[in-house]
Amino acid sequence: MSQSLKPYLSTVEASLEACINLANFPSQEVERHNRPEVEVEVARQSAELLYQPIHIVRNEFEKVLIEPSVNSLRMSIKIKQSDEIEKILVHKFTNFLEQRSDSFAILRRKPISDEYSISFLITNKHTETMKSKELVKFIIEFMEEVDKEISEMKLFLNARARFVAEQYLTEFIY
Amino acid sequence: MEDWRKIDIDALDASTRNKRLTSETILANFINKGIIHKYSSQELSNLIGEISARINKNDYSSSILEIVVKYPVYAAEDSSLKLHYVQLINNCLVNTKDIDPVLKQLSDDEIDVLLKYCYKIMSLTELQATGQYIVNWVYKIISLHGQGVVLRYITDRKTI
Amino acid sequence: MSIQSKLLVNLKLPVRSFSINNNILALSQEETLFIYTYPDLQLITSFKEHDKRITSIDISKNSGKILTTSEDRTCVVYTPNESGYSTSLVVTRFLKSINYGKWNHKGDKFLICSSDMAQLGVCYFDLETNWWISKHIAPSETTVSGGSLTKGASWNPENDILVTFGDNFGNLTTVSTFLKKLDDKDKLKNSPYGEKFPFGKIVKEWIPNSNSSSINDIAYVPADTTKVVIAQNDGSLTLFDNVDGTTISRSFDKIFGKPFNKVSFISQTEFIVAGYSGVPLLYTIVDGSSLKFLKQLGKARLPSSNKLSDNKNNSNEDEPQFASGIQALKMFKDMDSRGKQQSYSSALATVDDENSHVMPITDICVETDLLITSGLDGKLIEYTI
Repeated sequence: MSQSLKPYLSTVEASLEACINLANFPSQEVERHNRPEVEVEVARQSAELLYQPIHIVRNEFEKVLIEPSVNSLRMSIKIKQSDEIEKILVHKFTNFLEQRSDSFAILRRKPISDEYSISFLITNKHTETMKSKELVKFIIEFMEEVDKEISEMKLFLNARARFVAEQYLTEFIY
Repeated sequence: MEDWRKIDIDALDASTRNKRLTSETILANFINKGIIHKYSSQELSNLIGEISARINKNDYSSSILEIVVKYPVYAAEDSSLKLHYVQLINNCLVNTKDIDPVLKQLSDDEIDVLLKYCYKIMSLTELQATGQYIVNWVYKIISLHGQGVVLRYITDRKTI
Repeated sequence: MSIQSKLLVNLKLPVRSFSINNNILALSQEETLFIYTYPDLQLITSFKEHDKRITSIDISKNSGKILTTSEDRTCVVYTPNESGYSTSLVVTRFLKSINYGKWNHKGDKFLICSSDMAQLGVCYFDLETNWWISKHIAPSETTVSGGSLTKGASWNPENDILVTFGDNFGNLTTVSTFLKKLDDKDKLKNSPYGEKFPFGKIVKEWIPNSNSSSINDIAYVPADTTKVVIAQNDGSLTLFDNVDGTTISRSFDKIFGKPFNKVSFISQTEFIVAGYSGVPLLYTIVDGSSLKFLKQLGKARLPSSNKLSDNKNNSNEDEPQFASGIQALKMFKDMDSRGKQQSYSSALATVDDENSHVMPITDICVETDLLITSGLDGKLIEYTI
């Protein structure tokens, strides 16, 4: 792990750990309902149920936003995209995961805004069935792995492109 | 009453629905109770002047120790001036090379204030280019004080 | 000194609340209430009176009556009789979930905390109408209050009439629940809280530590009922002067850095706190002026990343591989891209100590010199103090 990545990931980890103390919280607005307060539309939110959002920014291209609330937290990640190919790859990759978010419990179906590539939504239902420590670990590993995955895919793509181009161009060699 | 069909029954409901708290009410409540001091433009300009003077002398860390953490600007009359103030603090944080000795001189409450500024700076798009330095500050703060400081940050309603 | 902890009950669903009194143990699994004998743990009976999750359970020491509150807006009182228990429904007139219920010491009335309107409910049995009556106490008009009362509310042990409760906006309110039919006026004579206490009077209103962080639990200091210990959601414990509204002493758990859910006194000055760290801690009040950490109950569990550890990579090699993120990610990848389906179980299962909680502690009870805690992991654990 590079030197500058470690403080970034560790900060995200500690911040997540602090936010993941979720409680069961029956809605105070809708009777007999129990909803993740962070997902309630802005006009209907009660400020006392939301905690301070945390931005952790490495640079404009790599950042994390954690929005904690009394019974849920939302975490959005902007995955590093340094060129057009990476942009396409990240888009395809996150889209692929999001379409399968059912089997991926804490993944949100779409990121909260265009600013971020992918969002997670953890509610008290998740922390009651899964260890919160492990959930945090999972997200951190995801952040570590995803960069690797994207650059691997890019290498693979380039290699394939080169090969295809070579094959194609051999036709013209006499 | 003739147009009884048009009575807004929600307005008559004593339930919380009509008393939804917003961050503005919370802030106003703090100011009313005297818990938060609302900085006038004059007071804030003075702070800015002081910090700028020190920056001109290439002295960054002393402003953090003596001004930033001592006078948390939770509310200000002029929000653009406050932004300018936060930018100056960013300047101080980015240019302070030796973080550890600074952090060691701060009390627990002062650390809480400093962390609020760090997270605030990272939330501003115009200051995100130097985010790496701020991340390093936060990292050092958490290493020294544990994740309890982050917990205090998210639950404290006195916000920058 | 070795501190013992022992697994008492291990259930599938989270135990959100439980209560032990008069050799009876009552606990809930979502909507269902189970009543056991204690300490033999023989199931006596079970009830399914609620159609939504039970949020709290309390057994009255005096009458043996059991009280359950639920997200379905009702409370149920179970009165013991020859053949078991008879139930009666309490219509609370609250429209939202009831989060917490607590009998007074005498056992003839109880308080309820609701998500509705930031109001406290006081319920008592009216003989004339043969019906449980619920009265509401609202905070004063000018107070900016959160919508929900938290699970923290406590009867003043000295007079059994004053109640202090917290809400999720960090307000600490003390009110009088004086009822002519039930309460004795003389108990409030020379009370440090004032002179006249009509029902519903707001005696004190504070925002402790002026940070408006939600108050998770409150306990009166038995030795001096002008003081309370409050646990806030920012992880702090505060010794608070409830008459003057000043913070006497404030303390944080630096090891885990997690908030506490419950505070309970075991003697005049010693109390136990427990919460998100899953480990109960014993504190004491020194000279009525400062909080002091005494010890951790149960086996020491390594604190999570309280301080960012530099040996993150080492720990992965030394310890048995836990069912951690990386495996989940791998499994997901295998399933998704390679169409492999593997069971995610035994070999990867964690080897947690069964005698300690792996999830937050939801409720605590002190029985003679034993402490019992319940957790979201469905466990009840017994500690010797």
